[in-house]
Amino acid sequence: MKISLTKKHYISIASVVVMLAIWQSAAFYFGSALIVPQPKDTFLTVFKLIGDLDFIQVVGATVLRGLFGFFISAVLGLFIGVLSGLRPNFNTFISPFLVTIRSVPVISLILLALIWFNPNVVPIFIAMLTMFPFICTNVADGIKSVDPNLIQMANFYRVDKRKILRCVYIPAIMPFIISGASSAMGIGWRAIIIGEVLSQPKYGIGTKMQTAQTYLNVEAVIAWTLIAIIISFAFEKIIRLYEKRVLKWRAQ
Amino acid sequence: MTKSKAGNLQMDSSQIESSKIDSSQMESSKINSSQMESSKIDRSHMGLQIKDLNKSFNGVTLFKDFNLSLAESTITCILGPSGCGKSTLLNIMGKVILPDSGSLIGFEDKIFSYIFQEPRLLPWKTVRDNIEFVLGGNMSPSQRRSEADRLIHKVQLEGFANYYPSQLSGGMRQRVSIARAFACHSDIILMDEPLNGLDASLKQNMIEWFSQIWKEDRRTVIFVTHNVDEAQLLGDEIIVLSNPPVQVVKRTLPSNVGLS
Repeated sequence: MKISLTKKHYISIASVVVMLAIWQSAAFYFGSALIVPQPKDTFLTVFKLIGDLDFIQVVGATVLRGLFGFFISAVLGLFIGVLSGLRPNFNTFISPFLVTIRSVPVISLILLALIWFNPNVVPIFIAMLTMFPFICTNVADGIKSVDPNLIQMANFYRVDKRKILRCVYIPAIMPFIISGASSAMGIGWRAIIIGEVLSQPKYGIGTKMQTAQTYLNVEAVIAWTLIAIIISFAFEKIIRLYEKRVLKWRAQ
Repeated sequence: MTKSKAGNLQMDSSQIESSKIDSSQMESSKINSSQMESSKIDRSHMGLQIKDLNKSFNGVTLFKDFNLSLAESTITCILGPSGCGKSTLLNIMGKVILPDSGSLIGFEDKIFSYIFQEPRLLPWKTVRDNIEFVLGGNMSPSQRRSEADRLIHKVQLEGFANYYPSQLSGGMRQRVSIARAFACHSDIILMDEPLNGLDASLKQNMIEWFSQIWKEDRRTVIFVTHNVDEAQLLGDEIIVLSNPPVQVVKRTLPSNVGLS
């Protein structure tokens, strides 16, 4: 891969440098690792955590919960989104559900989920409920945006229904699914970690954060936060790469 | 350049004309047009007939006891004012719209392909895949591919098989849609004002592409337009329709449309 730095890259780098400088000054001002640890020490902690025996299990558990929650909400969102895109009455019926799910504070969902489910399931449930409305709404919008002329063309040529779904509807809503997945993931990771903090499953970034916080280990809290950011960023990148590949017809 | 093309075209239509003279005689003697068809091409043909067609749309009676017979293996232009129900007639023939009553004879087991006013290509499929999209499941993938490539060659878009529609000009896109219509092993090609919005020279080229490919298998073409020039250039026979409720004003050869 060829790396070429454009002006935009330089500006991004400058932005990161400024962030680190603010962090460093704060650490200097408070002068205590119990309040704001040094960036350098925090980064060292990140590496130390990565070297830990259970690191893979911890991160793996969180990532799996995320993917699992995402998968369920994608399947549900696709199904209900397609239906409400095609059937206005169903759309009217399902709208209050979506509005309600979206308006309920995440913490209420967690408190209830803690009563209903075991600690491993709580974060998945939360992730699913936070991601589902995004995907559902986007898919429905996508279906509504499908050019009726193309559908008519396919019908004129007697193309069978399954092929129309596969070759016309799905590609047409793909950009909507991807942008839905991107916003869903952004919200989803945060929701999962809150879920983990409160439900304390055996493995999970949230569990680790909660433990670190109990011991006033601010360095570890921030280090785990950085790891969470990296995970979220990595998934965003994957989605963007996929988008580039799937939507290459839009280039030009 | 354009002149010589026009010259070719002139010649084409005059050839067709001479072979069509007996058609109008048949017409006037009220004999089914399919009989004269069989004398022209040695294929047995059933005539296409629309009988006692009735269709209302939003309270407007478009067709009232409408009758029309159409010749096979020729290009029939249906000429009429905008909004007279030409497209509806086309959709009824293609069995996409059901008539209120009436019967279509000879259309029963026909396969149709279409050329629309806009190319209607799938933007996420390449030129080749767009053509393959309409090819039925009775062809193997390799057959579909070679058929698509054959037609891409016919419309001279060889280098563009892997291009997406967004990378092509408007005229090239319409050529793809012509290739798609011919690639589909249809019996009848229905065309709904496919030349609208193209500039004069492009229109001329398009007509030339079309008639060249058409000559290979002389499929039945029903071409709807409100443009007299297009009808004259492309049609073997021109059927002029009135405003709704639609009646046939006249059927004629391209040379004597005689506009009212």
